[in-house]
Amino acid sequence: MLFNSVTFLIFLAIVLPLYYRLQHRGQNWMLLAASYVFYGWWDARFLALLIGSSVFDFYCGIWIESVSEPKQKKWLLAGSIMVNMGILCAFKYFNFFAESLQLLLAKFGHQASFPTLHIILPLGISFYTFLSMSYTIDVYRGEMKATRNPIDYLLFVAFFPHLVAGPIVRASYLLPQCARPRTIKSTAVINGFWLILLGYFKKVVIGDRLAQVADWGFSQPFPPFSDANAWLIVYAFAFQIYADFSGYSDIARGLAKLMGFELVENFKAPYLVSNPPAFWRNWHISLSTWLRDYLYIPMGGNRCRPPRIYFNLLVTMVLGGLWHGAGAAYILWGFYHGALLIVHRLWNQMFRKKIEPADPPDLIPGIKTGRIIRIVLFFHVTCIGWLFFRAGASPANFDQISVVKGYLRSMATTPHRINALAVGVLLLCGVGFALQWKNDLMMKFYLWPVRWQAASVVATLLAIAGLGVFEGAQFIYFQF
Amino acid sequence: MKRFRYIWLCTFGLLFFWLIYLVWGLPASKDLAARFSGAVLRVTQGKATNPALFIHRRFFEGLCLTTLLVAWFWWHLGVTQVFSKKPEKRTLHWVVHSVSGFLLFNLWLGFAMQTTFFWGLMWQGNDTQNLTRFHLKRLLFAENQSTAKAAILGSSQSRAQIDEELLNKLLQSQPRTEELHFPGSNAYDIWLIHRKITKLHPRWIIVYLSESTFYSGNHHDVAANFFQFSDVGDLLAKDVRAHVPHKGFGYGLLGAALPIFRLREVLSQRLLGSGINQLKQRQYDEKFSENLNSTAQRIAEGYRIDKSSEFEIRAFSNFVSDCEQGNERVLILTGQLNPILSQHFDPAIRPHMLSFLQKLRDQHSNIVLVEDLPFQSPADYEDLTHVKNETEIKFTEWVSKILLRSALESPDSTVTQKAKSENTN
Repeated sequence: MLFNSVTFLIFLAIVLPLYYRLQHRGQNWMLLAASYVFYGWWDARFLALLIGSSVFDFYCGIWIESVSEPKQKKWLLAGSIMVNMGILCAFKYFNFFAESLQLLLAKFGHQASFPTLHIILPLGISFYTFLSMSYTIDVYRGEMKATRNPIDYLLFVAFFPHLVAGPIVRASYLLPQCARPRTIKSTAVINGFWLILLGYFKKVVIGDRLAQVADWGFSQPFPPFSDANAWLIVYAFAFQIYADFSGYSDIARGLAKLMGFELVENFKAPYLVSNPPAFWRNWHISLSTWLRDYLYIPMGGNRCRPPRIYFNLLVTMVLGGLWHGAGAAYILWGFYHGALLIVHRLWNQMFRKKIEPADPPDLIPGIKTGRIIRIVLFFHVTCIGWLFFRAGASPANFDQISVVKGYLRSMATTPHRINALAVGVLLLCGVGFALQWKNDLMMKFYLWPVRWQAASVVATLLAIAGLGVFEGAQFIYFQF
Repeated sequence: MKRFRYIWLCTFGLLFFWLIYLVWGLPASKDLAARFSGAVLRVTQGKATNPALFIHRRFFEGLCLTTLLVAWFWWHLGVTQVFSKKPEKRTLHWVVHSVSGFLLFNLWLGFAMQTTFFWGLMWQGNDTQNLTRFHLKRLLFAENQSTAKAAILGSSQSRAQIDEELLNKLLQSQPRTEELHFPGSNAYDIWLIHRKITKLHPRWIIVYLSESTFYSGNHHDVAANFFQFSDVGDLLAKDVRAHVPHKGFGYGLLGAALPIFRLREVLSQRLLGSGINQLKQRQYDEKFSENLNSTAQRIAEGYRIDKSSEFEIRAFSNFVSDCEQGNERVLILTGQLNPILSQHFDPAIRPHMLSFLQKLRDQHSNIVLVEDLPFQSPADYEDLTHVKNETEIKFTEWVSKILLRSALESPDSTVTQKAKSENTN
C-alpha cells in the first residue's frame, strides 16, 4: 500500500492506537505483524522471500559470532552476502545480464539465446537485502553483537516505514531501538507529525505535479524535440525525484518518531552544494554511506595510490548506479558521478594550493555571489546526470541512449521561446530549493514560535488539499 | 498590543468601506457602469446585461469576502489571547490554531465559491479551467434578469455544437441561453448538474445527445466536481453505486466537506499556470490525433448496450421527470458522433437510443424531441466528437429556428411573442 493512499491511512488508524496500548514486547510483535501485512498487501507471495532471507541472516549473524575460526567466519559472511546478492541478482539483474551477454556475443559473431525470467521485481528488495548484509558484515567486523531475539531482528528488517524505500538504516542504529523499551516524547510526536505533513507536501504537491511534466517530456519521440524547453523538463525531473524520495523519507522518519523510533536523515540540501562529494553527503545519505563503508573502504578507499583510488571511486559509483536499476542508463549515471568525483579529486590536487579563485564581489552584501554561482553551475551538472537516470525509465520502445542524446542536443541550443510550463515548473522548483535552504529549520519544528507552527501547518494542509495530485502515483524509489 | 494595531487598522478600514458602500455604492456603480459598460460587456462576453448591477454586486461580494477574512484573523487573535494566559498548553495552542485555521479557511472558500468575484479571479481567458467556466456562467446566468431562460446541458459535444452567444444574437436573447456544459458528462452527470441549476429557473433545457451520452460508460470527473451531501440519497440506489465510480462520490463528498479539495485543479491552474495543469489533456489530444481510424476502432469497443447503458437511460428519465416537476421544457437534439467512430458501433445502438427517446417523449409532455438533425460528415469534425467552427455556426442557426418553432407551442408568453413576430415576418 502506498503512503499516499486511503488504505494506508486506515492501516495507520488501526496500528497506532494499538501500538500505544501495548508494552514493549507486545509492541514489537504487533509492529512485525503490521509490517508483514503492509508488505503482503502489495503481493503476499514475496512475503516468504522477505521472511526467508531475514531468518537466514539472523542465524548467519549468530553463527558468525559463535565460531572462533576466522576462515569459518569469512565463509559464513560470504554465504550471507552470496545469498542476498543472489536473490537481488536473480530478481533484478538476471534478464539484464542475459540480454547484455547475448548482445556482446552477437558483436563477436556468436549467436546465443539465454532464457529470461518472467518474474516481478519484489518491492523493496534492493533495500532489505542491503539492510541484512549490513547486519552480518557489522557482526563479522565485531562492530556489534549478534541479536539472539528473532522478533527484534525480523522487525529491524521489516519495519514498515523504511521497508520498501529506505532509508537503509544500519543494524547498529536500529536494532538497539527494537531491543529496548521506547519512550515516546511529545517533541518527537510533534516533530513526527510535522515530518509526515512535510513529506506529503513534497510528494503530492511538488513531486507528483512535476512528475506530470517529466513524464510528458520523456514520452515525446526523439528527435526532434518539438516545442518544450529541454532544461525545463530536466529541472522538473530533478525536483520530482528529490521531492518524491525525500518526501518518502520524511514520512518514514515521521512515522517512526510517532512510535518512538529514530531513523537516519536521508536528504539534507543536495542541490545547494557546489561539488560532488558534498552532493553525496546530502543525497540518499543512507545509500552513499553504505557504499562507502561496505564497498569503497574495503576496496582500499583513499588509502591507495591515486589510480587505485580513482578505480575504487568509479566501481563504487557504477555499482551504486546499478543498484538503482538494471539498465545501461543507470550504469551511465553511476559512471558519470564516478567521473565527477575523480575530476573533483584531480582538480583539488592540481589547483587547491596553487590558485585560490577569487570570488567576484558580492552583488548583495552578505550574499556570497561566488558560492551561488558555483551552486547553480553544479546543480546543472547534476541535472545532466539525472538525464541519464530518467532515460533508464523511458518507454520500452525508446532507445535509452537516443533519449539522452536527443536531450543533450536540445539542452545545448538556446530556447527560442519560454514554454508555458515554465511558470509552474520554476515555481515548484523554487519551493523545492527553499525547502532545502531551510532544511535544518524544517527538522526542528517543535522549537518554532507558536504562530509559525500554526501558520505552517495550515499553509501545508491547504497546499496539500488545494494543489496536491491524488491519483495515487507510486513513489519513484519503490521500483528499486 | 502591537499585533492588534494592524488588525484594528484593517477592521476600521473595512468599516469605512462598508459605510461608503451603503451610502454611495449604488450611485458609484451606476457612474462606473456608464463609463465602463463596454468593458464590462466585453469582459463578461455579454453575459452581464446590467453593468451597474454587476459592478454593485461585485463590490458587495468583495466586501463580504474581506470581512470574513478579517473575522478569521480576529478569531486567531482571540485564541492567542486565551492561550497566552496558559503557557503550559503550548502544544494545544498551535493545534487549535491549525485545525480552526484550516476549517475556517475552508468555510471562507465555501462562501467564496458562491460569488462571481472569486471565480472572476480564477479567470484565465481561453485557458480557464472547466469548473471556473461553469460556475462563472452559472452565477452570471442567475444575475441575468431575463424572464425567459434556457440552459444547454451536456458534455463538451454540446459546447462544440451550439454557440450560445450566436444563439442569443439570433433569438435576441429570447430566451436568454446559457451553456452550462461540463466535459465528460453522461446522462447521470446531466441529471446531477441539473439539480445544481434548478434555482436558475430556466424555462428551457437544451440537450444535445449522442451515443456517448448513454453507451460509453461513466467516468468520475463530473461527480467529483459536483457531488454534494444533498446528493447522498443517490447512493441508496444500487445501480448508482454499481455504475458510477466510487472515486467520483468520494472526491465529491470530500470536496463538499473541504471546498479547497474541490478547487484543487482550479487553484493549481491559477497558481502554476495552465501549462502543467493541462498536460494530461494535451497528452490525450496528442494520442487522439494519431491515426483517427484506429483510435475510433479502439474507442468504439467501449460502446455497448449493457447494464451501464440501462443505468444511464434510467438516469436520463429521472432528469426529464425532474424537469417536468420544475415546469421546464426539454429540447432533445438527437445528435451524432463523427461517422468515422459511429461506423464501428454495434448497429443496434442507435435504434436502441432512438426508441428510448421516443418512448420518453410519449411519456412526458415537456419534451420536444428533434430527430431530423442535419447530417454531419467526417469533414465537419475536428476529431471524433467535436465539430469545426463553421459547422457549429450552421448548426446553431438551425437550432435557433427549432427553438422559435417549438416556442410557438410553448406556454411561455415572452418566447411565444417573439416566435409569432418572426413567423409573421
